[in-house]
Amino acid sequence: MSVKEFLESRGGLVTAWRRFADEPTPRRRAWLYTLGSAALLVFVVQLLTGGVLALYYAPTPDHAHESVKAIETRLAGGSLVRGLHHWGASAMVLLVALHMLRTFFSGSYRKPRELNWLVGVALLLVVLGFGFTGYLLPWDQKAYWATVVGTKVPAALPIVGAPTERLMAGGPGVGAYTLTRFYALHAVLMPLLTAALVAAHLLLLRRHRHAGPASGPDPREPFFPYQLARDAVVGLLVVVALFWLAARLPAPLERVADPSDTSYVPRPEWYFLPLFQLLKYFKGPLEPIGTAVIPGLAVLALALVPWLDRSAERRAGARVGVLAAGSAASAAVLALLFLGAADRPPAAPSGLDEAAAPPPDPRLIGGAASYEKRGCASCHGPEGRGGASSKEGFGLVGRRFSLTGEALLAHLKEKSPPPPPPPSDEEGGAYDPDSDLPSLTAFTAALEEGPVALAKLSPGVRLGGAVIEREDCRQCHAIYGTGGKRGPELTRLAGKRDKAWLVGHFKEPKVYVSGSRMPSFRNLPEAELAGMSDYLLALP
Amino acid sequence: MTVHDDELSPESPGRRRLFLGIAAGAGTLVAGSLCAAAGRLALAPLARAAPGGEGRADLGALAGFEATRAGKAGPLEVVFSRTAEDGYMSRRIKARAYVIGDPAAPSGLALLDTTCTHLGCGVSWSGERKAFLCPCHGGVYAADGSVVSGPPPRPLARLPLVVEGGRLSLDLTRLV
Repeated sequence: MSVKEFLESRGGLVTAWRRFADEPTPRRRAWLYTLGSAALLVFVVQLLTGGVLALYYAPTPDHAHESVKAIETRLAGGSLVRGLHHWGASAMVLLVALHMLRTFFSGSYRKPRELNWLVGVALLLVVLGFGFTGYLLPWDQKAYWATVVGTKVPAALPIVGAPTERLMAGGPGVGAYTLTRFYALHAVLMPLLTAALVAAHLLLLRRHRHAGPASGPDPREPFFPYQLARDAVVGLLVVVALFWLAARLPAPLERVADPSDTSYVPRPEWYFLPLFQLLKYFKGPLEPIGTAVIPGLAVLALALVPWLDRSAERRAGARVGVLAAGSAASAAVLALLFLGAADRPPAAPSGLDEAAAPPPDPRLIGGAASYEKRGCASCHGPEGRGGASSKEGFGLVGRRFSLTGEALLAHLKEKSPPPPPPPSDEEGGAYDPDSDLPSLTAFTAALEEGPVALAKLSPGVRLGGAVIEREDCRQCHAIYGTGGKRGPELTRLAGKRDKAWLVGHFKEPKVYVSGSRMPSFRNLPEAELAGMSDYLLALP
Repeated sequence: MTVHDDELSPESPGRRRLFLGIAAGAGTLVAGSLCAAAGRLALAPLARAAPGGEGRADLGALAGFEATRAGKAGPLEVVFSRTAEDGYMSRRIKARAYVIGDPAAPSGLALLDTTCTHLGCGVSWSGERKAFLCPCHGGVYAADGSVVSGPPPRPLARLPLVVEGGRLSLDLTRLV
């Protein structure tokens, strides 16, 4: 007896495989029918990456953040896997939504497939539940405050509100038991539920066969290998996109949750923005309308779609009313999403003048500083504006340069002496007198476009910008979106940090942020440290 | 009657009823006992723990709050640490509150919680705007903690303040 015969006689596996492989699938619109399998693939990606992350994760307030940080910084491949899981969550929501829209517009939910539509709606809700429970787990500021808000939302409901909040949080507030609850839901119970729902979804799909296009001819071909190949191609594209995103934009990890920090403004993930925006339109006693009534009715309407669609036929022409209502609802959700994304709350109150324009890029400030140090102004005038003091040079503002690249560097080295060497007490690293040339040429290149306004900057901000450029903070931190990713992006610090904290942190990073890998800058003069703080606090 | 009629011997209605009863009874007991055991633990957080902790948290010398009591200065932030029971662990946490002037209180002072009554974000006093501002959804409270505008449904909560022997402290035993 061959292996094949054995498997067939004992398990019926050959017949089962043939039935699976030979399922007639539509040839027309076949690419549109890959969305569901792409969502399934992302679920598998989440199971795999989530399973590996769980090997290293500790769901306690004392260790969650540290363990995620260790995954991110110490474990080989940790950042990539966490990035895949992070972006996989977004991909999952996106693919499930697209799959649902496709099913809706092609009318595939109609009799006899109503039950499968309901399973699909349940899957959508579970996917959103995964998002909500997953983002508490890193126990960073975003995690903590988004969950505080998320668990308080049902509290405004009459009668059921308070117990619901306690059950979600596992106690009177977000804390140790919230973390264990969300972890158990996210990593054990919801994956089991999802697997069961996915199995039901597939069994029901096979039971009623693929609905096919809404109108026109519907030639079929076996699932294997034709539709499988299309599914595989789309799956590959999705996975490539996930790897690209995970490598380019690693999952964020803010500093550890701080319940006493009152200036933090939580922003939800993009897929909760429609709900977040809705919340803003209903205040006081009307709030449950925005938090429960409208979302509840929307989910109910979505679940009842197969019964609300009373049209006689499946083709689009016969379902104008339903399609119009569905389009309007989708447009409303999208509109709320964009409004929510556009509506950034004002920065928390800070002592700085909020009306002040954001400071220029540190590279330009640093360039301007070396423009002065190297005496460029003696020929080209202050800030490149030319003027009476120019002897042999000329103003640089608004001029196309004849010198570029190597020729420009040669000109700079010849005409302008490098700044004096640094004080001898600095660390003995090799001093490169021309290390400021990149920022200087960036500054002069900017002059080609017009004057660079630095005069209005406060002396502290100006000094700080130059120091940030000189010390190359961008090696690890992004400023204005460019720079390294080892440290957090330096943006919107005003309100979150004050000057004393920043200066203290520059001197002893590890004292202020446990496990920080930032080097100490305690050798810098106080004025420079204060200036760096001023500059950072002025950043938008 | 059933899909397997050809394989089945004739059944008696009484025996069928008996077995139906056994299946239903045993099934209910199995499902019920498991659900009760698991449900009780899952719903444990619904039971309210006894409020409060032990002792007092010192907030500083009364002298430091004279201007606030006299209405010459706005609310003053106090930072204190206390032991908080958090699920299975108890740990020292840093907490904040505001001391405000309150003519109605015997001591002339009151203590405000910083938790926004809307969705639980933390409020801060803005000296410029002379109001407590919530960064999340724009709640604004007056210096006495009453709602000025925005979504908060209630004034900021008052915390049990004790003024004794020239010092201010928070009574942790009466903390809810």
